Amino acid sequence: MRACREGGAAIERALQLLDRSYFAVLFRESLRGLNDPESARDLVQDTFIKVWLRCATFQGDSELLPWIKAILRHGLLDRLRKSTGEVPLEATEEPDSETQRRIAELSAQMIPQPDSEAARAQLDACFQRCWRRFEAAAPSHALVMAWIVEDGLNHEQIGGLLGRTPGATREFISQCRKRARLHLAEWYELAFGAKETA
Amino acid sequence: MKDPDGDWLDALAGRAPAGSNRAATHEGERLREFIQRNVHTPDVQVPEHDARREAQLLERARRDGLTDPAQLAGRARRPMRPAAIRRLVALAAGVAGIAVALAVFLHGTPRTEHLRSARENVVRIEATDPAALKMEILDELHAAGITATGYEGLGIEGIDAQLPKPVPPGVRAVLARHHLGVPSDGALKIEIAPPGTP
Repeated sequence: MRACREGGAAIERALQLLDRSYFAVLFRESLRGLNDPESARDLVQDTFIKVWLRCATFQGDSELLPWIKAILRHGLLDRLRKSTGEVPLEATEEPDSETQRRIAELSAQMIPQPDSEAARAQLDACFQRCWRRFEAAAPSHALVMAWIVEDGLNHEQIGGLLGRTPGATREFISQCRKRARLHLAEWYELAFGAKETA
Repeated sequence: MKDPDGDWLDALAGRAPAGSNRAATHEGERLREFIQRNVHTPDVQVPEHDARREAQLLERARRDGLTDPAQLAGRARRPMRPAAIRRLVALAAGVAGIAVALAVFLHGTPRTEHLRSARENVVRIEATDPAALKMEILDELHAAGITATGYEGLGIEGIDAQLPKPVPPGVRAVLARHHLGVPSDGALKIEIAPPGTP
């Protein structure tokens, strides 16, 4: 911990090393959530300062980037919460029970999907359109879902990012699923009902 | 126990679901497939080295007092909340962690856990082994060319030393290592007691 002891130039060198090694990957991650380069840059630099202040809590046997990424993601969710506020999903906003029943039925049947290139492109385009709406309406939920897919996050890791109790984390995950169904409804219809409606 | 959201989460993360809700699992798998194919971090070019960016980061670190050992020490001596105390304990105990990641700079060894406060120019440190910490600080001060006196009384270990002016860098480094500020009058007075001592 020489840099921490000596201060001055040693700390500056360490921060420069952090910046050169990790800025790009963290900036892209921030930009995805914040959609503003200045805010994204500010969040990354804020993260580096936090990394320095929390360096003692880093477990040496784990990898550095995931640890730094977790700090960034925590800060990102915090900023999103402050900027957008967390609006609980109203019961009236949830997909109606008929839609939910249909999704469950079709999912259970695991209907084979259309495998033609055209159908696949149509589904992808629909998903992208819906996902943009989802990101705009519920950015925290969309981001966390993307992170779950990318990094295989489990319940405990999600709770850590959110700073929530296990119970509250379960509720958040449930909300993710409900909001996805709401905002991706068009895609759900195509993806799970294509065979039936064709 | 049935937990559809848990199965949905497992499938979304690419894990084998713990439960047996096929509908939730299939829904999670389909979402995962489409997120993997359609949701990505923005593909923006970011230079690895950006002098302006680094200057901003360093300015921020200076503003936050991260590059000044004296300010770091002062930070440690402010009245502390339990969370801050835990962080400081972790900082003292866990310096080896970050050493692995930033090997160029980090050569620390695990330190004795200690907390501190300051009153009437006497810095009070709590340590699980006060005698050992006293000897450690005495040795380091002696190595830095300071004649320091150690004493023991009423269960408290103490160190007194008169520091030269200006205080040599080697001595500043010893003080910074133990998160001690440079005394304005040059009179260094430290008391080390076991945790919980009034």
